[in-house]
Amino acid sequence: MDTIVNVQLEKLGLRPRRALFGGVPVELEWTPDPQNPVLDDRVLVALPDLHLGDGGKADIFRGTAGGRHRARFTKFLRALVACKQELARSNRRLSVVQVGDCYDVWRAFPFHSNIRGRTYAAIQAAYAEIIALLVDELDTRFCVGNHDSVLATSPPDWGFGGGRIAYAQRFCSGRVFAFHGHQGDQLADELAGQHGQTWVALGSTLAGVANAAGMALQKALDRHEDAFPGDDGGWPEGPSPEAGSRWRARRWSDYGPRRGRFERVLAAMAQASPAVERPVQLLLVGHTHRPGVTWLAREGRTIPVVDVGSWTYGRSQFGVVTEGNASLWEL
Amino acid sequence: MRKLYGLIEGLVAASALSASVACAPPVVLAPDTTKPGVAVLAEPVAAGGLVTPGSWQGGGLSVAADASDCPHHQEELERALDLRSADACPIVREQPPTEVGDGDAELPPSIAPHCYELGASILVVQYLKVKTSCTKVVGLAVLPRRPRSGK
Repeated sequence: MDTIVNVQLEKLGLRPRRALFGGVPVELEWTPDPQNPVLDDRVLVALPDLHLGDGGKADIFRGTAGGRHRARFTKFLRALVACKQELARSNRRLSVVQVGDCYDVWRAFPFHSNIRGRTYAAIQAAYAEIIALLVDELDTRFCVGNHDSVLATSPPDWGFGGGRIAYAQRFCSGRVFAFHGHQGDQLADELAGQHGQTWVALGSTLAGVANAAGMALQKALDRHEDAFPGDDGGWPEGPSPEAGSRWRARRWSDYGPRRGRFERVLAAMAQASPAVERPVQLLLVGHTHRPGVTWLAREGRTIPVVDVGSWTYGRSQFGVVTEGNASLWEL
Repeated sequence: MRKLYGLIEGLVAASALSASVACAPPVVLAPDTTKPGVAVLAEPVAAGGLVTPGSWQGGGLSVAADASDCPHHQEELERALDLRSADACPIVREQPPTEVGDGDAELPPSIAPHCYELGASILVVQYLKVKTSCTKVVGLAVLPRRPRSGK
């Protein structure tokens, strides 16, 4: 992790430790090449699924930890604000991306009774300080997830115009690309068959649904994800990219058919927006709540994918990406 | 803000008057030139009676964001006119989705439209969000309520 980030976290009494799976750090490394950089001199912090709800029992951000979890996250964000100021003093930049499911609109507020706008007020009431830190102080960019797909078209007050909320977010001239990751779900195939056009438009299949069948599918998806064995763990060990790849990880994960679906997302994007797809070198995703590092092949390129875990049910995982390193941490 | 409240009340009266006349032409509201950054928009004419903010007439809001200023126009306006934020017209809060955001680019401040029921009228107010907790009125429209379709 960038020293400045570590120092600021420790100043506030937070002791970040490596997120491990199978005793191995979840980490991607590469040798910086000034002719072919991935980032620039910025620090990019990737915040995973938060699932902010109304603060009640269905709120999985709160989980059983109640206000303590909120206090810890608030302290973490304050440390990031201090990092941002410290980096600015040396003309460096801190960027923050939240990879989707920031709000959990339909778990706390079932869709049939969700009236757009009113539900946001409940989340705002429960998490006003957190939202203010994310938006006002950290200028966070948000991806749309399946639990907050309505944010794309009916945003809360802070999300109007400018692309603060989008299906995907790109950084460093598009070399780092983030989206939620539900596009890799098996269940997405079913919907892609019904709404292929939406799939082509960024593979934001589930984020674009606005019909009863789609809502039912989202609920099924969530049950499927929650019931996955070893939810606190990660993914089975998977194959490495071919020898000679610039990307290194001590443990690659096997994301099964998700890899193929992510490849389809990029292939669709290459057709719809080639200027957006072409520069992509590193993907950041969330959604599964299981951190890991995998990769996909795209027209001769190897593109690593880092899943940044979650900040739900008491977990506190986050990714820090600097030139040469993308690693997961937890508090 | 007091001048603005008076203006709104006057507009509501004018709007109610026109709504009471069958097939009356839309009320065209004049810009409030006394208040920098506040534009009174012409009444939109749309099949649904309400239109999305992007297609409001009289656009070109002269929004001057002042980062050091933290007004609370929304709370003041809602208190002064006893407004209840209406869930009745969610279409006002719809926007086309952004497929890919540019994390390298600076963002303009958010301008959030709110919809209120005000007597026989619908009041739509655009608030500039200076911070997530600060609001400044930058646009408004008073619309006659659309009769229910009966479906």
